Amino acid sequence: MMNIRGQHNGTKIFCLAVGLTVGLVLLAKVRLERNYDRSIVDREHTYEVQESFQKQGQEAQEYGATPGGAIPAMCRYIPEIVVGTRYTMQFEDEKLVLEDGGRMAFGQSAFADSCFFDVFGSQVLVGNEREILATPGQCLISERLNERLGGDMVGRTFCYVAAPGRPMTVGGVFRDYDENSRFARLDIVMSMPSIGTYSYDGTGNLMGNDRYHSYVRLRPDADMKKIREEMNVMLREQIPWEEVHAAGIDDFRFTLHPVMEGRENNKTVRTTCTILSVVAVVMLFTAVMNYILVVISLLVGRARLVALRKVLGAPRWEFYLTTLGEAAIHVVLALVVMALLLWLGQDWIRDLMGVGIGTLFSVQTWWVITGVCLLVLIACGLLPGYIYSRIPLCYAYRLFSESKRVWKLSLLAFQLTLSTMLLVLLGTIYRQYDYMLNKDLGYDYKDVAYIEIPHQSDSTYHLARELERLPCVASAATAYSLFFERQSGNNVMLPGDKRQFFNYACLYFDEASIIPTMGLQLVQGRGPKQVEHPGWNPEAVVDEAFAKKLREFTGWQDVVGQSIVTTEFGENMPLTIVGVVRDFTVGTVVARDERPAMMINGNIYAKDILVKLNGMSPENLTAVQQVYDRFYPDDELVVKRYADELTESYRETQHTRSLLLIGCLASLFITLIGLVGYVRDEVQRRSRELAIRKVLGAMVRELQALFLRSLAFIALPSVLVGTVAGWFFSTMLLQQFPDAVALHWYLFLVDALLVLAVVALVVFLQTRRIALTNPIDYLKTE
Amino acid sequence: MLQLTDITKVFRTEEIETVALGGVSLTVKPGEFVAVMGPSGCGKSTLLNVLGLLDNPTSGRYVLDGEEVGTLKERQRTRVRKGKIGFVFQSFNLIEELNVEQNVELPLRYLGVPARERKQRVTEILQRMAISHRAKHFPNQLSGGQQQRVAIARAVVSNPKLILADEPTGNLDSKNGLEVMQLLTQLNQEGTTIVMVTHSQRDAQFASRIVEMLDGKMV
Repeated sequence: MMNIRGQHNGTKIFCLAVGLTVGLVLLAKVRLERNYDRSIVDREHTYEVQESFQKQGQEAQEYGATPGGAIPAMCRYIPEIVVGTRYTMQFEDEKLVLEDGGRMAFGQSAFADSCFFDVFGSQVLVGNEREILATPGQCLISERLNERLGGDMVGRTFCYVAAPGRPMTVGGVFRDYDENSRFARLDIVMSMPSIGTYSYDGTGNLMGNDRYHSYVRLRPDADMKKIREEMNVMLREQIPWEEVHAAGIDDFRFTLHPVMEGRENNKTVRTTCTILSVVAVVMLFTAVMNYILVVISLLVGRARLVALRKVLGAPRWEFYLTTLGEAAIHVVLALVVMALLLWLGQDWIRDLMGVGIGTLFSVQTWWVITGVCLLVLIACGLLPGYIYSRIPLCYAYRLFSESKRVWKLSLLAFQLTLSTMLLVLLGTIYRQYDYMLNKDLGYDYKDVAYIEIPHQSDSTYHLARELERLPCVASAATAYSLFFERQSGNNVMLPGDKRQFFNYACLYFDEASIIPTMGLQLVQGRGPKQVEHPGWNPEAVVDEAFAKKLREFTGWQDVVGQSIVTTEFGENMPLTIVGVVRDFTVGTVVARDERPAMMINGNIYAKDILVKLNGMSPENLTAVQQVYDRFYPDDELVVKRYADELTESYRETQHTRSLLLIGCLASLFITLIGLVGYVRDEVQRRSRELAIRKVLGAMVRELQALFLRSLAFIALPSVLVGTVAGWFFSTMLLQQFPDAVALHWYLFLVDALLVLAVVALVVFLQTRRIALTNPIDYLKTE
Repeated sequence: MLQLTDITKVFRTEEIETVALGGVSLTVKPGEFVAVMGPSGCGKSTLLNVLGLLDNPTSGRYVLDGEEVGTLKERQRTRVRKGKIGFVFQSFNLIEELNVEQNVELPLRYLGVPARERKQRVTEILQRMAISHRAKHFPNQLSGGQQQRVAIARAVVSNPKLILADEPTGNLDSKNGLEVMQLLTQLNQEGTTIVMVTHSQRDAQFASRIVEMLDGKMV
């Protein structure tokens, strides 16, 4: 073995560890995405049912949810279906209380039918799931909820605070779904026959109320062509075609999509996986390149020893063995450092990935880690071995001056290219995120706070009025949902006319104050009046797109004052349009609802109170909170900033941004180490030349310019290629956003200049020391 | 041309303090050719470094061409050195990556001389040094004598008032050494002041004045 002291081992190991950590975390994340929903039984033969409809003159649209009656009908008509199930989410982490003990907890719940666990797996620990899920008022709860509620919950009854008087009895317990599943947070599976107690029961519908997620498992030998024929028979016999055509829909059908492709076919997931894979490979490659770069830089120092060993008869394989041994030690130590880094950053990783390290690096991931480590080992071990084995014998007795500059520059060029690409990509995602946060949504939410109220009652309206008395509150309004949430939709008709013109996004609120509270701009008419009781004469405010579309269909000059009918309320309850507001975004920049919007008054639906504050300050939030607490002393309600919740909906983008940031920083760090090493070696190698130039009158800046020029020929093309690659991946990344930031050429120029500036800074700092040193010190060494 | 008054140069490490120059005073008039002689380690090269503004003295006064330069900072020393002083080293100190023409051209580049004038002056000096046929050759393609002639060409191309030569014939055979000394003598006769450090009694005979050094002092 050679003496490995003084070989920059710390740098080599740390850079390798950083590259391995970031690279493997990203690869694990990609693997995780590709193994999503592993709990599904017999995934190969399981299909998601989607709804497809085609409107006049438009392309067919697919929708992920179906009406409740789809699965029962398909099971009747298609004998190839082994099992079919459907579920629909109900409560999102709502508070529930045990009826007999007052103990409380929060839990996410869904309604599901009796075959839910046959399709979605997870072991049922206690109870007969089929019986429980077929019985009204019965449910199964997760193991963790069972523990949170004190254990031994079977037979006991609880009530959701948001649905008082509708008890649910625990019939069984299921094992928690793993973190990498759509049901990771699911705590309560309630029987489908209970749904009517909580909301509209659409389990028999084949049109409308498309809230059910439907799945079927087919026989392994199922003939898809035959299934399509059977499906057509079902559609022909079961679908109310008159109703469908009246809604302006030409074609309507159900389609089957393999669950194995579901996640992979998701455009966002696919793009994210591609980009993360590229970043991961870039990271690993950069780390390995850097390792080799350091090894080559140290060649001058080790050449004599290697040559001497050759003179003494050392065989070629011995050098390979030596470098492989060193690389093995370095890789093992890098893995130890990696484990330490992962341990230190485990909370951060959980926040970023949505899963813990245990899930991220499960047993299935180890083959990836082992494979990557073996590749790293081979690259870091064999390549230096090859270089050592080619050192000529003559260097045993004279100085090895070969700089291997071509090697070093090639590796450096690669690192610079990759770092530039990542920086460009990072710049793009940062700009996109910034764009999403600052995009004008057509309303002003800067000073808006809100709270979800636990009980739908008249007190909500009074609470809003009470809040308006606070000096820090400009206005308050109640609403059924927040603008960025997914909205239900209905079709527009005219009184006495069966034609359905178009579908719209429906927002329910309480009174006219919603307009000033959300900063909507009323362009015509007025806001609706508040109604005190059900059975009201509803009034509506529509956006400009709605008004334009309605004018096109009806030929009206003006929509204000006109009466319309909706598929939701029917002929008996027409709505009067009282105002038009400027177009605003329903949904988010990422998932924008493109439909025209209509806002309808009616306090029976209100579940949120929105408050426009005179400045978003902690004091003002506290003042609002105190009023809430007075109204609902038994509930733990928290006033939230609207902007925070909106930002939360961009979480995926934020995560991608954070992952790219880590990748980019790590890559830049490693490249920087390589660059510093290269420039330092070059400065050292050319120290005599620098001294001579100084003696001949060169100023410090001229010497720095000399080095800059010598690096420019490699840095400029590298940065150019990196920028182009970054542009390519940026375009790919932005394709997943319906509303994407513009990619101006000068933004890429800024990124490229930034990398060049870093290169220049490193050269400047590394050459400054030697340029300021007395030249005679370097001439003396001759 | 230059005047040194009570110049000292002390090199200090953590454990040891070495007095390289212990109060040297020397005056060199314009057009003089001074040879500095003495045994190894007596401070000759240190003196030459101080004279060439490659190193600052620890104490004492150094006036060059009427300007006090003994306390200048590195950047200022470079500015004064440019165009005023030419150097000839024992080991030639040519830049391996540059050819003869480029090596000779360097001082003019750093003086900001325009390209056309540079080319003309380089051509002239190479012809004068009888090395123009090797203009495109690299240093490792030249003999020692040729390399030293290139080094002298580079030293004089900017028409410096002072040439400092450190053992200019130390790496040459007698024939080439003689040629180099004849070149230096010719330059001196044309008005260039020369201070040369040498061990060689024969080379010293070319100088108009010989000063002896011992243990960092003039004797």
